[in-house]
Amino acid sequence: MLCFEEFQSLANFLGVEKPNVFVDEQWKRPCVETSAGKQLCGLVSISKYLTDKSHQRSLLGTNIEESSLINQWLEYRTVYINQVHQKSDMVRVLEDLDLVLQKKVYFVGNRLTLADISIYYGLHRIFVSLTFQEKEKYLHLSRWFNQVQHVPEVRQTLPVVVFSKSRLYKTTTL
Amino acid sequence: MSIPFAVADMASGTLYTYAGNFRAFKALIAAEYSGAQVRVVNGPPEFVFGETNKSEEFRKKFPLGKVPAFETSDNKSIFESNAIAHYIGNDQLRGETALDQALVIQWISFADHEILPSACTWVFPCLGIMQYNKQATDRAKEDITNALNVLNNHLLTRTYLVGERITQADISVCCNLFFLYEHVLDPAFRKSFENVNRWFTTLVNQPQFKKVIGDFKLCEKMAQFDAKKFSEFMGKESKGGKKESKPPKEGKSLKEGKKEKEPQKKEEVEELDETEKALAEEHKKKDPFDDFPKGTFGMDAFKRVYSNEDEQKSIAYFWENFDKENYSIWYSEYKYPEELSLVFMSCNLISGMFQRLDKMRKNAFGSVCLFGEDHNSTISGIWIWRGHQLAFELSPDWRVDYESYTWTKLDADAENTKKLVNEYLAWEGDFGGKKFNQGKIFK
Repeated sequence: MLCFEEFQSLANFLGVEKPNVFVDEQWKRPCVETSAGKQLCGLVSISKYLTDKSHQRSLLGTNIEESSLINQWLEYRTVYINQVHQKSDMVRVLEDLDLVLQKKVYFVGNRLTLADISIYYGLHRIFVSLTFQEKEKYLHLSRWFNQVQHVPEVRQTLPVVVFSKSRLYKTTTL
Repeated sequence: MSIPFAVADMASGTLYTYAGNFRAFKALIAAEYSGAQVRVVNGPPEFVFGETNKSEEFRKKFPLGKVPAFETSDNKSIFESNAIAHYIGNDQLRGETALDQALVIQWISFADHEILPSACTWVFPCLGIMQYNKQATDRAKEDITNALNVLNNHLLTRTYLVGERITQADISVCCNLFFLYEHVLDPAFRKSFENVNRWFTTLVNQPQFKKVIGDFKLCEKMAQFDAKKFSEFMGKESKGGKKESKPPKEGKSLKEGKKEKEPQKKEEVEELDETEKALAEEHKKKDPFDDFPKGTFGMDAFKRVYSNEDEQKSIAYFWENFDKENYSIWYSEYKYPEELSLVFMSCNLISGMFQRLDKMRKNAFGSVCLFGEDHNSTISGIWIWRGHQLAFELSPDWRVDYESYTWTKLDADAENTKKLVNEYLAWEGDFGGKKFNQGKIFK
């Protein structure tokens, strides 16, 4: 998903005015102009800025532990998920996240937070490319992904990723 | 993602239950999701478990006389917890499509038939509210393991039981698992059911659940059968000689023989209800006397003086320290003296009553005496307790014996009260012409 679209969707979900995103010439990073007229750059900063302005600030966590964990996952998103360029990168990310979600429904706490939304946006392009067989390898991550995409306000215009529930392939390596 | 509801569509009414009833939780959690206006009636004076729900007026609306029971604001009656929850809930909880609705019913039935009976067989003996039977418990453990396996496989690929949102299926199955996760599913046992654990922990941490059930603490050590607790429980449970034949009441039960046989079957059915009630009370063992001010009379201190000093000293001590503002004095008389036969049996009657009133000891004192001889005797006594109301009504556990006595509240300032109390404390005096045989002290 392109950054532009992601910010539009996020703003839509949050119920805030759509930001005017532009790319800064020197570093080729996405930027917005804050209400104070300052230039703000980068995926994480802009996502947090938009959430902070909205009525859903609890998506950023309601205590220091939660907000730190959310920051951790936003960082993971930019450092690993956005840097998937080849198959081995992808496998590593999917394996990592599958393990994390083995005992959890959401990345942080017991509810949807900006961590889930951001990782969902980041993983979408990867998931559409996976075969059923591959998706079944990452059962926990697939379960989580399916749950998040069923929040219509989060998915918006993104295509639905189909998961087979018949579990035809019993070769899962759990 | 809350969906706004039209206020006109929302269910509203009154839910009757005893406090802490996990069946009522199914409906109350549903109400948190739907925003239904539910007035909960779960305590005196409006609701006394075992009385209100057995009254004619209640049974007219709810023929089973069981709780939870729900009366809509336009006076329609609904019984059975899942039906109430269905009515109180919303479309998301009920399932949006016919298929989803069917699946919701499927899991609710699964919870009631595949989980609950075995859960009771396993957990209740550990809480001392049911006899332990190794075979039955082993069988129950096996059944629970099977049921958890089914859930675990289902939840491997799913976040919630039906669809991708919380439904009544999740709420009802979760509520039926409460006492398993609280008492017996210790970390070692539940390790094999990580998907169920993940689902369960997520649910009990949803704000809508937390508002109803508070903080849920997962079991750390598997509870085992508690024989001591069980015998205590049986002591207070036995009513009208159902499980324990009480010799002194023989005369009475003969007379009532016919009447007693009939309700027995019914009582067995109701036993589960009673047991669940006891289970709910496990959670909050609150001393009913806590509602009354502590006052200045030290019950313990008085009992110490009474046990260690001679009567003259202890009687003087009593009147010096008695706090008539916060404590009351009562005179009790056994209603059926013509049924009292042998002296030792009558003594058993008194000590049995004391035993069943064990939890009153901290706040009450009594001296009960037997007068006369074999086949011609009476029982009467003096009681002192915190508060000014008839203490036995404060807890269902204390109601077993008191109805067989007449209770008269005495004026603490009156001269004849003083005389009466002194006689019963000293076990000496004319007792209004009755011949003292022996006495027992409740302390």
